[in-house]
Amino acid sequence: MNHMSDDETQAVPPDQVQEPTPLDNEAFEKAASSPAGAADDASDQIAWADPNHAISLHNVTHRYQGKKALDRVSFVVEKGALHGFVGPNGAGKTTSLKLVCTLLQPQAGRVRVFGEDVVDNIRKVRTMIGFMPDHFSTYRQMTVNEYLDFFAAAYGLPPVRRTEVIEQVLSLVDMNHRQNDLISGLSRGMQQRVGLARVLVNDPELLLLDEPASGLDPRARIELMDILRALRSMGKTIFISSHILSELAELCDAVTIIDRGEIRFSGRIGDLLTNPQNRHTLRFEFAPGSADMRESLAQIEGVVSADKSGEGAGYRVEFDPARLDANQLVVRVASLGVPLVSFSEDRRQLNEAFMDLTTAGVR
Amino acid sequence: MYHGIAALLGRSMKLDARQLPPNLFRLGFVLALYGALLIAQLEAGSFGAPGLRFFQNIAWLNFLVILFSGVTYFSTAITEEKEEATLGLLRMAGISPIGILLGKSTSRLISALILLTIQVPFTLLAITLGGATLDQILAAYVALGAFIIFLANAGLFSSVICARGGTAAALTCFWVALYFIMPWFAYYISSEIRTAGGPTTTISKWVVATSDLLQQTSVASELSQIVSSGYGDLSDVLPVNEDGQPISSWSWAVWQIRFKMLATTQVISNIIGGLLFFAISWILFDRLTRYERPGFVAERNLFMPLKIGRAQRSPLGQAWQNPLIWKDFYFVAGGPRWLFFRQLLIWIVVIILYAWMSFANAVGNGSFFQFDQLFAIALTIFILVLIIEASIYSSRIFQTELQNQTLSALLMLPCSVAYLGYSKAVGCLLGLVPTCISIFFAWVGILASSVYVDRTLESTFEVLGQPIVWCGVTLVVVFLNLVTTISLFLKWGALPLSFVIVFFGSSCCPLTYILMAFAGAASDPLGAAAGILINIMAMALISLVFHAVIASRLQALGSKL
Repeated sequence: MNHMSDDETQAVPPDQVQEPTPLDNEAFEKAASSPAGAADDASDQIAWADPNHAISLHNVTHRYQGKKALDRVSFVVEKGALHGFVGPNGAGKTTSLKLVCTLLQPQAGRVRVFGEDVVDNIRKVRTMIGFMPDHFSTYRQMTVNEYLDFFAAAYGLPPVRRTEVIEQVLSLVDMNHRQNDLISGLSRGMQQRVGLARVLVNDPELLLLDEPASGLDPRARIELMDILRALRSMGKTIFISSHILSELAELCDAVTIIDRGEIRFSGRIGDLLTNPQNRHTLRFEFAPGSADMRESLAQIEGVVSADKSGEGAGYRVEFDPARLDANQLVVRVASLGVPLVSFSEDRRQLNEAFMDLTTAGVR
Repeated sequence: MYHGIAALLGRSMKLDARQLPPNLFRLGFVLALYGALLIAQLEAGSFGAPGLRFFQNIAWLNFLVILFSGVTYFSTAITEEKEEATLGLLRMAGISPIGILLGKSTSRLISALILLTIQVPFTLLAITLGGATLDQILAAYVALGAFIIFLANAGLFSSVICARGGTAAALTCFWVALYFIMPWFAYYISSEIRTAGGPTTTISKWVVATSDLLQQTSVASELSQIVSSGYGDLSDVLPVNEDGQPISSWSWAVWQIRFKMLATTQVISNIIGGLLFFAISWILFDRLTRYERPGFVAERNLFMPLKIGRAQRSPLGQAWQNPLIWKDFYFVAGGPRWLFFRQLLIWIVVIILYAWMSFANAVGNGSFFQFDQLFAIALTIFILVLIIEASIYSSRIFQTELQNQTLSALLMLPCSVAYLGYSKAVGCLLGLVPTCISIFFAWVGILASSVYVDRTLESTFEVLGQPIVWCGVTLVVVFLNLVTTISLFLKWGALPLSFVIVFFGSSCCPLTYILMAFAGAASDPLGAAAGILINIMAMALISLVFHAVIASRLQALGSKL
């Protein structure tokens, strides 16, 4: 969002939002599956100070009382992306967010926001970011309007502009009708909206949201996701830490998975949801009472495996996209002479990928 | 009901036993006991009655510890449940209000009484060391026990009517101040009347009788009598047996005499006061805690009944150019309307006080106070108010941010921590302006009503030119900085703890002696100027050190949120 004026509020179509480059994905997949030395090779390929990277963490290490919270963490968030940040409890998400939002200083490595170092250009960075923590950070004795006006003034907005900005952000979060209410009297969902409005008053280019949907009812959660989509369409970069994987999968362009202070994956969601060995899977449903099709399916060239799926006549067919196109596979299956009822792409869910990439146990 | 009380009591006591701070506190207390014993041993060769001196030290140490506990430990009995929004759960478990009150406060009272009881064997050493009697020791512990009952229940009452531990601690401070000021005030009234020839009318007799009774309610004066030599000597009052010999001091007849001696006005009044506080807490408990809901807690207490259930209030207008100053002026100091109302209220209190004292004087010696005495009273009270206000603001300046969890949001503003801190301080200082204006008016009032204006002016500047006055100012500044610093480390109790530290720390800190030496040695104007300069420099230096600690702590707390 840009609330300098209405005509300046240029919405960026979702198809123009920059996706993470293939270079990044390759580099990070390599880094995630390789020893430390290999990660360095991957890191060398990334222009860390590129202002098109909304966030870049390069070899960041941070310890709390000797215990490593982050261990040589490196990843980038592209400008204009809606980037998810997931990991088990104690994985290092909040520490990473605090480093980006200047509340912590990295003990080793560099953290940059739009190419600016968070230590060297702390004030500039602070004007570019808006951080919403995972708790209500509000003055309960203030009214909504006073609260937003306070922060707008703290960011140096002149009084007349403040009134306009507050109206705009409140309309974005749909809270205009409650602007004279005391914050203490608002529901949890409404307080969350006020928190989001506060983050927007200084028109930051980058929004850092730590568990924004936690504790919200389903309706408030859906509405919040809609607001985030609207913000993304306004060209904001949104870096969102969350445990609600299904929503992240639906909402985000890219995701970073962190576990025990190490990055397990960073890149496009699509890349994460494909098979780790770069194999694709289709699910076929034949007419009830059909003969066992496993052998026939397995004999198709390019099919890696064919297994029964469920109790009916459903089969999961894993194939190598380099040797066999999905369309070709469907044609060949249809030509087997057994009535085909339906077929669909069988993609991994984000939670499956998350479980594969992270280790068990509470930290 | 009893099952619920027992469960709550057990849980509170287990929690207390498991936590490190109370155990460290007990350890510190035991060390202090050993320290007192060691001092008594060292002094035994030089002074007589080392036992009495040992007993005196222990008694006053207990008094201070109880005072500190009352303001911190007892004031949070119910507020901690309010802050964690667990009162509803206790109710759902079927525990009645009286059960919650007993379960929550009695465990603390028992802990305090146990701490008092376990010392008795140590204190009995005072008899062996010589100079103290068993009756003195018993009387001291009974007096202190009654005081604990009073303070525990005053703290309980504060914690019932206040939403947060900090506010409850402040309110308990007020009860404690009232507890000690009232007997002192009563003494002043009765001595004025007596100096003027004694009570003659019915009203003056009633005033003197009430004042005399009030004077006996303070544990401080009771304790000073008990620890003086010769107290509780039963030899003159001991009954004699058939042979004309005094009966055994362990006989039932002697114990009856002892019980009568122990049941002093202070003991009875303190217990009655405690019970009254408990009864009021019980009556109000349900009304004040019925609508418990997280997030609403901060807005709910007896002093802000109109806020209950309110969703809106009149807007304050736009924030100032420096919104941090605006915010603290309105939300820490209270804003112009509240400040004006408060000043008005204090002036009314001053006038009532003046009228009362003047009336008492008139009853005693037939003449009312002069008009300039109104301003003298006002000046004294407003200087006290200024120090109290500054102390409260110092404790709340960052506490409000911690309570609202807004520190991280503030630290992310594009400004330095120093700018943030000093802006907030300016907001609070603005809240002191009305009191400063009142002080100025009171001073002008003294000048205007004084016959010798020149002499009054001269004496004012003379006071301000005294390095010892600046030494006092330095101590106040150190105290305020300490309050702010401690408030960043402790959730509650920063004010009383700072007071104890400054009160005792200043008496054993070499820096204080150096500053006082400079102040005292200044007999000529140049020496006085040097004394003032040194004090101001010390004040600035100490403040800078505190500010560095505060800045670093803020940064650390901000990154934890």
